[in-house]
Amino acid sequence: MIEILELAFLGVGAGVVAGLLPGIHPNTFTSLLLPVMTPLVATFTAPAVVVFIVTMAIANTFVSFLPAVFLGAPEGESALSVLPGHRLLLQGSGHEAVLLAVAGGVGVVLLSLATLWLLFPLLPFLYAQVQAYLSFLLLGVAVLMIAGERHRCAALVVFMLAGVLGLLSFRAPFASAFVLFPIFTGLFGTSTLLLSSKAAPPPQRHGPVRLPRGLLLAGVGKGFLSGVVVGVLPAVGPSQAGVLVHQATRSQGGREFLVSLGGITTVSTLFSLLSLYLINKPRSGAAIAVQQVIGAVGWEEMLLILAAAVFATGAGAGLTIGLSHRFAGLVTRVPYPKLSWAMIACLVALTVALTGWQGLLLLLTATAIGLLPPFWGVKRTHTMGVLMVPVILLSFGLA
Amino acid sequence: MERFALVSFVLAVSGLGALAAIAFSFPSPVELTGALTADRVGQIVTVCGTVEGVKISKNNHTFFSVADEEGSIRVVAFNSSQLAPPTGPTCVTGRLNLYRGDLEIIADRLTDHD
Repeated sequence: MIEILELAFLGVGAGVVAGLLPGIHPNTFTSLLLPVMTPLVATFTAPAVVVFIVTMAIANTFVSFLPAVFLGAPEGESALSVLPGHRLLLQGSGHEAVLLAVAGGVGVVLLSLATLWLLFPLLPFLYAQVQAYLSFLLLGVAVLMIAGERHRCAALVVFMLAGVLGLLSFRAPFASAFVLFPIFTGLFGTSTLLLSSKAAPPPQRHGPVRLPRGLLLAGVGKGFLSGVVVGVLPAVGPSQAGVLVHQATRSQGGREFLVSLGGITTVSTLFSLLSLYLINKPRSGAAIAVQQVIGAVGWEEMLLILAAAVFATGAGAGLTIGLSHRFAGLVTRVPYPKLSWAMIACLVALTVALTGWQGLLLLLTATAIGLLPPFWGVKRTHTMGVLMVPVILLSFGLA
Repeated sequence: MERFALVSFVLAVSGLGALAAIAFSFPSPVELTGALTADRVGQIVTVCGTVEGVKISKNNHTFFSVADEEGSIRVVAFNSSQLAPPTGPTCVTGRLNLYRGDLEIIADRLTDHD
């Protein structure tokens, strides 16, 4: 029991560290930890290692909003599309943006726990139904995403460029287990940091913030629905599901989107872990790691995963709010451009260490593609074509 | 800003061109199954040998093993309708994967082994 508690705290700590690094996706961090898994399993019991993985993955989903909001803001005129979190940061309300996302995460986890009795039969049923029409559903998601843009041609070009990048990188002879690292780092990390390297956010308000109840409830509801979409459709990410659900419903604007995005990010990780029990398929890096440690997930393991997820939700949310206060106070004192360039240097060094010099080609190409959406005024989520195009072609038997 | 967008677009297309050249010009060398270890998971590999135990699931996934002088490895070809069921000596190119503790190859291409 003490061992499980130790690894629960250690997992939250690892999730916080990973979450503070921009451009490091939770799945990438889990794959970075895979070499450590063997000594962990040799030292600790399997349930304790599972608790470590789950707490790390869930805590990471909360903390990752800190660099996403405080480090990713583009320079005022350099980007046509500014994300809701960055818009609030540039208005001096970065802390509020983080609070909205945290509230969404906690709200959706609570809603998921309250509706587990419904989710348990529903998710396997939906998953089974979706499999027969997967290729058309994914194609439909891509078409809806692109059709929802004002600049549809630009969105289509971004989607296709990212798709070609995905197809080529998966068949490149130098591809390794870390091939997604330079890709996601380029699409979402370095490209964002490059744009923010000249930004100068204004002083931030970080006192108590009152979050409207109606906005929270709407955001949590949509976050939950989007989480179900992510749970059953492979290659569809939290942002895409959020955009789709907000397109289909009447949205109350950027703040509500932040609440639901916070919810989707956390609950999609939770659902990916529960899918090990419900459909016996790993749907995320964390779920793959859990499967490698314990193999099949039974009822007792599922309860352990749920308990660890609840603990990590509380710890991750609390730590994120505390750190957000600090970030809001520091953001005008820290040399923003230097910090952005230091982060870019770290990510380049990590890319070389993990994927060799060839990985730099992937990083450079992904960064160039990641820069296009803000320049062309379309959503960056179209770059998820990097996964969707290969999965769509595979499901049609064309790849 | 338009200039930066153009530079990014040119860089993206050039990068994809370079990747295409690498992906299609440098096939992965044929290896023996003994050289495939867990630390190489995710890499594209090619092994050649005798095909054993071919099974095709109702979802059209093909499962079999390829055996060479150093051992054998499980191969999975998902949605394999476009692949002819392997018979005789075969070379398999695909991604090395770890499934429930065992190595396997997710097949991308099957060719006859001369």
